[in-house]
Parts: sequence; structure tokens; C-alpha cells
Amino acid sequence: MKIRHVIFSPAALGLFLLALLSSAAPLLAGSDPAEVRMDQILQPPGSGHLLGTDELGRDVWSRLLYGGRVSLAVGFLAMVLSISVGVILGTVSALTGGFVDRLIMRTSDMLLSIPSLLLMIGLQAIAPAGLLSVILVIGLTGWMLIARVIRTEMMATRNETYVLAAQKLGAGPVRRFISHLLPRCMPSIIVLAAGSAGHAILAEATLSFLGLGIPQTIPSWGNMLTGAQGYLMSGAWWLAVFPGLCIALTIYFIHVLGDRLQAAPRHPSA
Amino acid sequence: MALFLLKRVAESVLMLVLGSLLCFAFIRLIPGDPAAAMYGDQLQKLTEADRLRISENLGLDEQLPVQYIHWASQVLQGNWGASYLTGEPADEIIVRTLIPTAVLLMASQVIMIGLALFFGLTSALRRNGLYDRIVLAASVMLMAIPPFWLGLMMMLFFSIRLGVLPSSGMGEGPFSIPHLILPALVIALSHAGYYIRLFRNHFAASSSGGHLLALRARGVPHRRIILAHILPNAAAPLIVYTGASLAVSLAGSVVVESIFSWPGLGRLALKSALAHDYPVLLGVILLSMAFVILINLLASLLAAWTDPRLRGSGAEGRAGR
Repeated sequence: MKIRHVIFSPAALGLFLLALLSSAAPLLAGSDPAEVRMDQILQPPGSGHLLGTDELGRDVWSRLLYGGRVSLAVGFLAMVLSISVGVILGTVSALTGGFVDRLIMRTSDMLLSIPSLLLMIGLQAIAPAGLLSVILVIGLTGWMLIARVIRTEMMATRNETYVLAAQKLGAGPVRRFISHLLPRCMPSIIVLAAGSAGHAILAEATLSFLGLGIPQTIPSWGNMLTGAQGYLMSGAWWLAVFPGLCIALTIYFIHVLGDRLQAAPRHPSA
Repeated sequence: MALFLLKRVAESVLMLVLGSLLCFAFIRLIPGDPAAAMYGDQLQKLTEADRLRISENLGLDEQLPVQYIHWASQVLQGNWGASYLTGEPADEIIVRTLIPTAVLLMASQVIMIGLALFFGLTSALRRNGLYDRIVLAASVMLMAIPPFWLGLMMMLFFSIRLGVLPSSGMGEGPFSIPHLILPALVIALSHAGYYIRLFRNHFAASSSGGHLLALRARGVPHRRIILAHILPNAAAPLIVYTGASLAVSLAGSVVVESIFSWPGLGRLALKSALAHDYPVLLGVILLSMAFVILINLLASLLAAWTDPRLRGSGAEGRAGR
């Protein structure tokens, strides 16, 4: 499988489309996502509102578009944070060895043994409400498996002859990391990033759904579902179906893309 | 084996200590001072002298390591503080939720392992065929569906549209099967995709190899090859992953118990987090961490017992997501 088969796959196209729709939210929304219309509450899809309205008469289609921006952005930023922390700690662990290595690995084992959602709920309970907290909490609780994979890769790479040669020629640890070790690990990092992004989007949706994530004033796919359960009984299925479908589609595309990347050749020379 | 056992137990104890340090740091991170964290709103009624006495009694004038040891010994004795909401001891509130959660977790594990074994094995035996590809595609889709949304959709379909299953609570008596079906099924299905793929890959690895071809050529029945050769070879990693899946399901129970109003540990965790009831929240986190470490320890010992190859390094003994 060539790399262009990954980039031009249906999953990548789907993901691109979702991102495009969210970015173009102000053009496509048609109405203000925060506009409360008490004369138009719980309208079913089609009746002047493409996907209906919620319990405050807000347009579900507009909220879906604007919510996509928040969900995708939070997921992406949390992923970047997890990957950065994971790569740095994994590299430090592999290159220093000894006590520092054991400390980092045992800490990651310990964090892995707290069910991840409980860990995030605990942190969100003491963190101030807001977008930044959500990104930090998700990002800083998702680095453990990344660090372990990167550590293994770095340990295999640090003794390659070209790295040792660079070391003998006087390249310091930072130089070796940036120009020799990191490029070699890049394929794994990309695969890990796909997994991490899927995890982060799911985590944001779950926390927001539970009322511990994005504040209700900012629409996100997760917190659009918070109130939806209460209105299921009265038949307002559209409140629950559409945001969930968006989350599921996004994560599905990311998973498929990750699988494809995993199958793609790791090293051009190999 | 004795050395391996000792090493794994020591590792688990070390992890517990590290975890308790994290929880101790968590208490320090709670906004406001620890005396307020313990006494909540009642603190306003106290005089300045009382507050000083409290912080002396709590050892807050001591050095941090001394404070940690003091706190840890309190936790080990079962003094987890009182709930801010009801004033009851946190451990009593938590203990009440254990049976419902245990029932739910057991039921979901049985369903999930059953699905993973069945679909993992059948699709590994038809590797790369149409059936295998359908199973793999379906499990990727299952992995993509958020558990809470799956819960809402199943509730919409089975409880509201069809009206055949109850959507909340545990029902009367010790436990009622109809109330159990939806929550257990949601936890099982939302993790089944991952485990079907995992089991399939392990079975695929253990069902290829010259020795199996030789057995087949000698006319050993198909069923016997599966039961006596393929399954035992894949057993050890599967035991470890099954242990890890309990930890994952415990996290899943937070969402599912909240949706289906199941009176268990997960719902308690969410309720106490939303109400900033820190003693209860911390107790739940500590307890689930200890539980997960214990389960992983048991799983890795069991795996080492079934497969002597694992006793050497213990590297396979750690699994988690």
C-alpha cells in the first residue's frame, strides 16, 4: 500500500469533509447556534429547520456545525499535547535509562491502572471549568502508551550505526534527537497520533455528555447530547441521533485511517 | 516461579504507593485548605482556635512526608473522611455500590468475552475470507461508537420504540435480569470491537504454523486441533487482556451506570465529581486503582502459570490500554 492510498482514501476524504463543514460553519449554518426561540422548541427535522430544534428552540444543524469546530479542535489539541508529552518522556526514558527510566515507566504504569475516565473525572472535578482545562486534562492523561511505544523504538534506534556515528562526530543529545532519532520514529508517531486523536475526541464527548467537559454555553457534539436523554422519552430522537452520529463517524474515519497508516510501509528504504 | 511471583507482587505494591502519592497530591490540589476539604460548610461555624486545633490534629503543621504517612495510615485503617453531601463515612457509601457494580461488570464481561472468543476464533479460522472481513469491519464500527451514545440508542430502540426492556434502575430484589440486559450489553458491545480484533489476531498467530498442518495431514479432527492446540497456545495473552478489560469496563461503568441509573460505583464517581464531594470521589479512585492493580497481578500470575515462557522477564505480564 502506497502512502497516496492513505491520503486519497474514503476515510481521509470523509474526515476532510467533516472538518471543512465545521470550518465553514458561519457560511452554512443559516442561523445563530445560540439563538433561543421559545416559540419553536423541539421541532422535528424538516420543519423549516433541517435537523430540527432543541429544548430551547436552538437550530440543531447550526449547533452541529459549530459544535464540530469545538469537538475537532479540542480533540486535535489534546492529541498534540499527548503526543508531545509521550514522545518527550519516552525519549528521555530510553536515552537516560536507570532511575529516571524506571520512574517514568512506573508512573505511566500507575496512571494506566486508574481507569482513564475516572482519572479524567477526578481531575475535571478540581479543575476550573472551561475549554483549556478539558484540553489539558485529556492531553495529560493520554501520553502513557505513547511514551511506552516511543521508548521501545528509541531504544532500538539509539544504537544504530548512523546514530553512533553522529555521536562520535560530536552531535549532542538534542541534535541527535531532532535530526536522527525523531525522523526514524515519525511513522510510529503518525499512527499513534491517529489513535490518540480518536481517543481524545471520544474523551471530550464523554466528559461533555456527563456534564464535566465543555461548558454548556459553547456547543460541542458531546454537550449537545447532555440534555438529549431527558427528551428521548418525549420522542425527540433527533437531539440524540445527529451529534452522536457525527462523533461516531469522526472516530470511525480516524480508526480506518490509523489502520491504513499502520499497513503502509514504514521506511522508504525497506 | 517464586522469584517471578515476588517480583510481580513487589511491582504492584510499588505502583500502589505511587498511586497513593498521586491521590495525596490530588488532595493538595483541591481548591481551599484541607481542613475545609474535610469539614466542608461546617467550617464556617468554627472559631479560629478550633481551626488551629483541627489543622494541628490533621498534622498540617508537619512536614509533607510526615503528613503523607499520617494520611496513608488513616486510609489503610478505613478512615476515608465523611461525605460533604450526607455526612456519612465515605467508605460506607462506597461499599453499598460494590455489589451492583460487581453484578454489572460480571455480566458484561461474560457477554464480551463470549463475543470476542466466538467471533475472534471463527474469523481467525477463515482468515482474509469474506466472513473475516465483515467481522473486522463490524468491529471497527463498534469501536467508533461512543458508549454513551450506544446506550442512548439502545434505550431509544428497546425501551421507548419497542418498550420491551426497562431503561433505568436495578429493579426489585437482589437483581433482575431485564434491568441488567441493556447496561451489561452496552458495556460489552462498546468494548467488544477492540477485543474481537485482539483475539482474532492472537488466534490467527497461534493457528498458523507447520505443526498444525502436520496434525491435519495425520488426520487429527478439526475440533481437536482447535481445542487442544490453537486455544491453549493463545491462552496466556488472552488471560492478561481479559484482566485488562475489567479495568476498561470499570471506566465504562461510569457512563453506562449514569445513563441507566444503575446504583453502582461508576454513578457514584460521577455524582461525587459533579457535587465536588471529594472524600467519596477520592475513595472511589483509590479503590478502583487498587482493584485494577490486583486484577492485573492475578491475570499475569495466571498467565505465567499457563505459559512457562512468561516467567522469565515478566514483560508480557503488563497489559493495559
